[in-house]
Amino acid sequence: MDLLTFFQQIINGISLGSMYALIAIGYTMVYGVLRLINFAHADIMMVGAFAAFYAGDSLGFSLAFASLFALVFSIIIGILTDKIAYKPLRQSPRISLLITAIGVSFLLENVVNVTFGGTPKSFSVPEFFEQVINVKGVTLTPTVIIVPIITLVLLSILLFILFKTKYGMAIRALAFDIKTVSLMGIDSNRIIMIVFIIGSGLAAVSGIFWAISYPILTPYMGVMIGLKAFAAAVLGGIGSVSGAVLGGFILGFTEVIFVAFFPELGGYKDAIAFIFLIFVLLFKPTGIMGINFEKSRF
Amino acid sequence: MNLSKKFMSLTVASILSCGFAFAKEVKIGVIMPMSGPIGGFGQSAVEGLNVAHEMQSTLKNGDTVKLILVDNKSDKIESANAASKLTSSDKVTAIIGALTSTNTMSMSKIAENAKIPVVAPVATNILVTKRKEFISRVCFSDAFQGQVAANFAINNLKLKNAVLITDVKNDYSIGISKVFKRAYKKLGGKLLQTARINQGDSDFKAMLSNIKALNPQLIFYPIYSAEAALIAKQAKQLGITAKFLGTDGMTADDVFFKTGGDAVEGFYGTDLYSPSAPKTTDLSKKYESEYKAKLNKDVHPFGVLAADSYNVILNAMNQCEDPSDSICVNEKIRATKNFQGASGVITLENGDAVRSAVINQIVDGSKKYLTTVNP
Repeated sequence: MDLLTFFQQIINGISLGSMYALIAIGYTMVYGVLRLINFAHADIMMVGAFAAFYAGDSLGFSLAFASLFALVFSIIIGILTDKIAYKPLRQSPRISLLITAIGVSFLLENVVNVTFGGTPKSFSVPEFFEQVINVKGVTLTPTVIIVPIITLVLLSILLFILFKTKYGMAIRALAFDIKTVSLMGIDSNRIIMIVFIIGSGLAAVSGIFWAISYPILTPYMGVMIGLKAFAAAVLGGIGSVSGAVLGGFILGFTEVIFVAFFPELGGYKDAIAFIFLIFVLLFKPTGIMGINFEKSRF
Repeated sequence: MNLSKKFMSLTVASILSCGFAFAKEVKIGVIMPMSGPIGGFGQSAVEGLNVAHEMQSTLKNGDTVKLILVDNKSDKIESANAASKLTSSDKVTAIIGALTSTNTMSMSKIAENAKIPVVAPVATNILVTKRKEFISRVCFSDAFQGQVAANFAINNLKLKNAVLITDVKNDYSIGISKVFKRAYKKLGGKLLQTARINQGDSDFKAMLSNIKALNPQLIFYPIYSAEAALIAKQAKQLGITAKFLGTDGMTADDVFFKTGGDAVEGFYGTDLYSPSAPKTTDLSKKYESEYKAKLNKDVHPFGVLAADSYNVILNAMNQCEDPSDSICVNEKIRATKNFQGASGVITLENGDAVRSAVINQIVDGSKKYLTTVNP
């Protein structure tokens, strides 16, 4: 592999990794507080992408307004899933909550399937994102630069909220022990709602950027992306926001490196991502930025 | 009371059935992917099929033909379920479907056991009809399409080193790739690499960066529209200048042109049918004008082949004394010779259609006919 290809592959790794990282943060947020693997997260991302598609394609909004529409719509869906599906199960065993999350995931997929007809949809990307920047033979698209920046900015905002604000303190306290915190007079349902607002907002942002980078949308697009992002979150140490970002980048690079060295096996890169995950977990069961769940979170 | 009611309805039913004894209803099952990843394929096929059905919905003896559509959701298992439903509860005489190779193959065993003839519109995989008594198709097989692609690359385009991209999840892609590989090498071409993808992938930049470093003249990729469009787009972003050659699955869904945009300009594609190719039969002219009047667009290859699946079945039914005798219908389907169909002249040999392929080039976002290749 010559140097040019090597640098190009590094760029490819950053571009894919930051995408996984962005989605993985949302998984980690909800898991940290509720200990719920929110399988519907990637589907909210898909709903976000479709909402932006609908606003842009059918209502004629510009991408900025379409994104805003998608953001608000996804947050509403996120709040509704929490209120309707998860809230009644707060006192139930965790497995019921997990199965409900899978159910919500199927529901969202099929509702979109029925509404939009299930065929692949072409997301129209504005000219700005179509341009190609050529740096000494290595090509970049604007998303390759924007997505990592957005990921890092969102990560800092999130860390700020969690560690410097009153709500953040409440979220962290809730992650520690829901019952005691409720006894102390904190409205746990309201705080959980805030967590879902943040989570769904992140999902919508990642959905929009996914649609810009890979402009073909299907109702089931969230399934594999979601599994990968979940793997990234686990790899980084689920529950840790910074770990999720790290895990996303590692997973993105693993995939790119694998395809770069074994193009003949490129069709099986999904399997490799998960095999890699298993190996990491064998040696470090809590993930890379491993957190002892009995002590602290985030 | 209850008994007499039952008796009444029984009498009514028998009178009714007597009344319609002269003009019966013959059922043809239709299994199509109306939703899911290849839902666009199925919708185009059904549009074309409905045009043919409206043009001719009765048999020679006056029986009416009823189509029963089942959505297989682009899924193998759903295709098999659909076939069980159609054969056991709807009691159809013949089945059109399940459109593509993988889905047709997953239902063929059920149809074989029930002895119901299946005519597949565009299932091109070699194995679809192999050692099958009741499965036929109105398209050519991948063996032919792979050969045509290799010939075209070497003889017309004169591009002697290539990279092949195969979709490991897709029987269609694997089949064509296998034949192309052999034929291309035999004709003196050099295959630099076989890259593999998985249906549903969206990031191909790692693979394409590698291909760029190999600097091939041609990239041959027998895959479906969604992935084909994303590969085209990302290849353009990376500055790949190689020529692209695809197959009929590449352009089958409109999403290829919408997403691909100017990235797919100049791409070559082998195809089953081209709306701008010269017409060879009367029915093809008539069909095209009906299609355009109803749907106001160019005839879709999958639509016209679904229509011809229907026409071939009808032609077979007309030759049988009892059009609902599925064994007779199957024999006549497989004996189809020089049938003047809507997509051209169709002759079936062991269930495979012996017919010509066309080659298109994409110019200004639509397919432009280049040449026809005869078997």
